[in-house]
Amino acid sequence: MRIRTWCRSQKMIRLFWLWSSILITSSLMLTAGGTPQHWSITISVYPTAITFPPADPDLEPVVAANSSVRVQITTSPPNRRWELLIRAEGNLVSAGGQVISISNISWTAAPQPPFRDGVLAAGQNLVLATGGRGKLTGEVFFSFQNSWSYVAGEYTQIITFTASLL
Amino acid sequence: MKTNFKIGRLGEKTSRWRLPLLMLLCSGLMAGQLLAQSLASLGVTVQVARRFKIEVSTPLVSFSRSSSSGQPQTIPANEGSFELTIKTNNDPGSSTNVWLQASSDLLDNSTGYTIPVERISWTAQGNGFYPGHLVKAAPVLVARFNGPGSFTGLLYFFFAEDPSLAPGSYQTTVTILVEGV
Repeated sequence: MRIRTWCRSQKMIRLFWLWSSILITSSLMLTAGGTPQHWSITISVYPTAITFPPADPDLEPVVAANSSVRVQITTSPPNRRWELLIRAEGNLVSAGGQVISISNISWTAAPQPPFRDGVLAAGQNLVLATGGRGKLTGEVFFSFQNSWSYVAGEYTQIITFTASLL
Repeated sequence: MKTNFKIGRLGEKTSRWRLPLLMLLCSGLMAGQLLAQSLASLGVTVQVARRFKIEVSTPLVSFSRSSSSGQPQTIPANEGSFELTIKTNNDPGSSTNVWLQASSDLLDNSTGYTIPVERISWTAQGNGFYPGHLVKAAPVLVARFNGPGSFTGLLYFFFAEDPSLAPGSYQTTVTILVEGV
């Protein structure tokens, strides 16, 4: 009798483990699948392009971009902590193949914290903001170090922002 | 004894489940973390216009004949050296030429007397700067550079005085021309 009872309880335990495993697995599959309903972060940047207009290096040794850049972070759950990285994909390059180091572009950002100032570096992820929590909008002001040594032309590059939940 | 043995087997079963469950849980967490990332791009354009800039240490160069020895003499400019700086972002494979062009001979407006502007000459210090003398109505090359940058030279102007020249105040205008080639 005791053995029968014990066997039944063994089956119950096995069934319980099987059921709970399926439940947890399906839950994880849902999370890892198309829509991460519980952990998500969204970044929006506006505008998506900025221009540094031509300027006399003597009169404007530092040129401000034509617009500041608004960066908005939204997380789910709303109080999740996040980190924002900024990376220049390379140096500034003209159609003629001339190169200006991307390190001539720097930024100031607000609010501080979580945002911080910095100087771009080609191919390197740099911390633009850390310790942020939940939804936040920041503003980034880019500046370009002007010089007579730059050959005339139009130079371009892409900057990538990466927001991650911590 | 049997009970203990069974419990042992139960423990085995539990540990068999525990590992895959933990793996699933971890992979789920990792997948969640990987998905919890968002990217945005910003295009950056820097416009650099082609520029040439001339900077001079003084807008006026003068010569004074205080006394005549009766012999022709060379009189240096009262201002000493004349610093000329050319700034350009011309192409690396291109040249920048700098010219001095006198608008006319030296003229005394009160008497109408003139002195040939060719009597004014200069020596030069600095890479790319050349000596020469002014020529009426014709530009004279004073410097040539390659590529972008800031180029500075010193010019020392002289006036070839002659005792036969009538006293007076003679003047002309010299234009500095910069040409990207």
